[in-house]
Amino acid sequence: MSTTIGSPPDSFSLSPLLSLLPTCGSVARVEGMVSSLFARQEKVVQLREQGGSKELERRLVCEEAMLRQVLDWLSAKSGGGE
Amino acid sequence: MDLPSRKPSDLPRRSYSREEVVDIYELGKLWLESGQHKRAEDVMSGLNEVAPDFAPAWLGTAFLRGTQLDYEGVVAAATAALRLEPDCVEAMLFVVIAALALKDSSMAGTYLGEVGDRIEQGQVSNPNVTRLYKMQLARYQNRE
Repeated sequence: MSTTIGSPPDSFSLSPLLSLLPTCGSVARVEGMVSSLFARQEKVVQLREQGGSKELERRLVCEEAMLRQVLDWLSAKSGGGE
Repeated sequence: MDLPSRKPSDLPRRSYSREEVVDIYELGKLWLESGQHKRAEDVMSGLNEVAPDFAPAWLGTAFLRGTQLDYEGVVAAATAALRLEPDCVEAMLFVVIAALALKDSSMAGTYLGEVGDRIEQGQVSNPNVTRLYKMQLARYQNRE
């Protein structure tokens, strides 16, 4: 591996374990998912309101948190926030 | 013909497509790389629920458990990835690292051997796996 003084460290040097995570998708494509993810979030909220088993509730909470993070990011991005 | 009006919430729930899963995972990975662990945690945990057969998200969860020093959690998440992809050397290395932290030499040695065999057989193309393997082998050989 050839590096020079001042060149940035490779990703392995910064975080060896992170370099184990595979790359298999595209962040840019997430931007095209706003409508479907919003619809999914609406559905999850509705299902939570209907109630159900504790296990179902736990799974819905996890899914909703994921969708909220992604939609918040998309919202900030479209608003120039990030 | 008039179609009945339907709200989105009336529609049946469909599972996530492979493309949705990999792209959301990539966003979670980006947040891991930038140190936004709360956001990454929500994404990886969500993917573990909606796409439990997607091994990379289990690796992301294993990484997060490691940052929390929850080594039992690292083993659990990496083992979930291994159940889906038994030849995943990245998951094996997560188990090795956690097993060494837990002072479980037997588990660490077993998975180190598995990774070493695959490296020797030329089945590993990621040079970072080989680098990390050598580091863990040194830890294993110098353990107390």
